Amino acid sequence: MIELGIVVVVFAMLTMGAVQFGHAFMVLNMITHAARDGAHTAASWAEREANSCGRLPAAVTTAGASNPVEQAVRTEITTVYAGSLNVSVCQGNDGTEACPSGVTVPDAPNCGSPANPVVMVNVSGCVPYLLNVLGLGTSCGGGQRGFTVNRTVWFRDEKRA
Amino acid sequence: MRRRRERGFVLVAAGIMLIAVVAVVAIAIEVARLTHTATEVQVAADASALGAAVASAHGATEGSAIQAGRDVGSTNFANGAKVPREGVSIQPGNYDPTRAVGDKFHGGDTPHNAFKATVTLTDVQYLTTMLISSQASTPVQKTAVAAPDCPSDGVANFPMTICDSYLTEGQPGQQCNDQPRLAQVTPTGGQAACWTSLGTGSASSSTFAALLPQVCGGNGGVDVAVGNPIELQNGALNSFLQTVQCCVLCKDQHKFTVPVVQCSDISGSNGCNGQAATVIGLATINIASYQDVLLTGGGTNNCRNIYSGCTGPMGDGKINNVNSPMSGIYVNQTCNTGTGGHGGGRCFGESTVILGQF
Repeated sequence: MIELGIVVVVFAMLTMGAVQFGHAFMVLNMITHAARDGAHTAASWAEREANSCGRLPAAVTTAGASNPVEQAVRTEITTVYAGSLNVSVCQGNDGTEACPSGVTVPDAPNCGSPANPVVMVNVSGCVPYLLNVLGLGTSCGGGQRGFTVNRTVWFRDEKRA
Repeated sequence: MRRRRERGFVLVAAGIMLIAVVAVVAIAIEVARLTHTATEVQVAADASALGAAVASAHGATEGSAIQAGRDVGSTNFANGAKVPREGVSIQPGNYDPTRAVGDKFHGGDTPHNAFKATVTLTDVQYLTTMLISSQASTPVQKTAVAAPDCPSDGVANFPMTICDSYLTEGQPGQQCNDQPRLAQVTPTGGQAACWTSLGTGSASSSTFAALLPQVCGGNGGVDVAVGNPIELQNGALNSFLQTVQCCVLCKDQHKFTVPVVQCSDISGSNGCNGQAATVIGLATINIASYQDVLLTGGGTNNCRNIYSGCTGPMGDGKINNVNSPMSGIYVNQTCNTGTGGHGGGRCFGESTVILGQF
């Protein structure tokens, strides 16, 4: 009976571990896909600020509920994870930049020749563990613990030469 | 006696089961993790192919476009590190969406109108499988092809629609050439074009001006998609045409994007009399000169009333228009590459880049 008890506990822990890892990778996969789709949407965003060298409008680069790219990313993630993640959209010139700072695209005609004009989407934050009986991981707030996520996807800016 | 012989059976059975369960869990974690790595590599491949195709659409040489694609691809992360530049290879070729799935992209075939990117991570370390296998790592490779297509949606920033028979239609990936100037486009019944609010509901000269690009003082246009209904109007609208004339002259804005409708929707008794027509595509028109905007009654158009500081042909911001029998515009259909939006639309000179099937 004692052996059976030990075996059941070990098997349960292994099963829960497998479920937890599977869930974590699924969430990571969804976030990577969402970041990719967001970056593609932002990179092909047709409307740019007037008299600029292809600067995205503030509505697309400012975080908030009215940012259409951010909302598209969140909608895609919501199916697997409804928690709060930070989504930022910005532009870069050589691919070394990262959101949320990025670069400010200048006004025309001082466009220069960026080496690698890109649009970036970054998704970061804390994803709570599905099963966390041991209380491990980073604090996600609200008494939950989980793992941190930081995914950035770069796509070439389609409206900048 | 029998019980004594069975003693320890659970321990042995549990040991065997434990090894089996640990192996299954290890494989499950490994597969999930490799699937995630494959997703990251696919993202890099998508970015590489699109990067090359977009650079090419912006006029880069084939070699430069390939370098641009490799730059973007190697900017992305996979397996916890930047994708190595040498792991990104890009091949130009010919893409024909009408060919069968699996045969759409022909590497090396001419004309080169598409790019196929292959991203390879050669040494993705196993996390757990090395416990039951001598193999310590595996390669992960993904491919993507980016090809030109014609957009099925986009931003229209001129409150006019031109019907399809007056425009030159091409095929996705076909070389686009600017077309000669059309006959005067006069939005009245039975003509090639109508005014439109770019949506349902009518508009006036002032609200039409709000649909122009921001450089002209408008709001930048509205999103229009194939299948959308747009309401058609006629009329002289001299006030709006004066704004257009000044924007062309003072702001050097010549290209505007308009929705395209079927000529049967605006011809004959249909006219442009407030009925709705269905958008079938997008086209970009070019108004080469302010003199291509014609006004009934002629008269002086003082552009400084709209754009202060405008110099105009005489330095005073004023245009002296001759009396035209009909108000309207001379335009020519022009090519507009890299317009964003989704593919699958008809080709009236607009082109975007999509991720295609092989």
